[in-house]
Amino acid sequence: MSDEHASHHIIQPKVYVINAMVIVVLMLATVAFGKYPPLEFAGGSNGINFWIALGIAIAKMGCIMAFFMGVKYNTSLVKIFSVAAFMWVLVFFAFVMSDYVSPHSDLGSPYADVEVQGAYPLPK
Amino acid sequence: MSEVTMGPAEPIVSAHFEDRAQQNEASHIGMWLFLAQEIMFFTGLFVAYGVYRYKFPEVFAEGSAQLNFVIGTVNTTVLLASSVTMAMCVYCTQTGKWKGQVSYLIATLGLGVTFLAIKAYEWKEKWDHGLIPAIHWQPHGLEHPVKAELFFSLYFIMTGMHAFHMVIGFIIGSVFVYLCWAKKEYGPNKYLPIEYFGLYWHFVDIVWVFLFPMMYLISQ
Repeated sequence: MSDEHASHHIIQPKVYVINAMVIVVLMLATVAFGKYPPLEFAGGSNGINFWIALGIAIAKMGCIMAFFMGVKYNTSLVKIFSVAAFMWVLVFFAFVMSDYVSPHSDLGSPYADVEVQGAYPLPK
Repeated sequence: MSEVTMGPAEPIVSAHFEDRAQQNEASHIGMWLFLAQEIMFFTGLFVAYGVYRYKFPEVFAEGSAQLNFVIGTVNTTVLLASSVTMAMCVYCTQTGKWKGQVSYLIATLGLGVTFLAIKAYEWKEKWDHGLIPAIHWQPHGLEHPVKAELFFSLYFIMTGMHAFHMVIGFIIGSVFVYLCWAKKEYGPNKYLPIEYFGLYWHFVDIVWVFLFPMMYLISQ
């Protein structure tokens, strides 16, 4: 798509309506998975439902970004900027959670199972 | 095309840009940089949520059960509808439809106020049940009354910051209503400010898209 075309692209109303209907369906799927009894697979006591709900939320975000925000019709440079922010979110999560899922990451914490000299008691 | 003259007769291209396309691309990038810092702001809150949900999953499940997911679903639908009306406002601005531009913008703000009103009702409910951390924390029937305060702290901070962004959006939108209705400032040759307000509004919608399942739909 040429830059000139990208700068003047007008998204038609029917695209918005169809996009909204898709997002409503995804929202109903989110509610359904949220209230469905969890399956013990990955993610602790919340099971696979957490990852399904997160995947649906990311799909909804993609629909909103692509059509409501018009990223699909923007130039490549704008697309890079719009996606980069969410890549940063993934990096942030990856680094922080890698700390907390490590064994004994709560060493010294009042909630730790491991006794450490100097740890102070707090209500459980 | 509307008979009302909307915006300038010719597109205005600043001298330091080659053409309108380059100017549009530059301003798009600027707006997305602003949204990027907003994303970074909310990411901190979501990461805090992620860490404590990982450490105390049963506490978060119990806290989530105190929230009304039907009201949350209604709120999600209201916000989605406001995104549709906002997108339609941008379309009407680009195609020179003045009545549609003003109507859809007012509809967007009206749906935003509806969202805030429903949110206020929810918070009032939480006050009645003694679930306001630090200020009015008197929970009844909770298995983890101490740690549940952590969940509700995150709930009120995250939904509170989201509501604060909605209020800011409402104030800015009200200014745009005046500019569109009285001044007829924006039209086919000057629609980017409306489009960028739309980007902000859709971003607030995206934040709620993640907030809703993470707060209201945690499995038992």
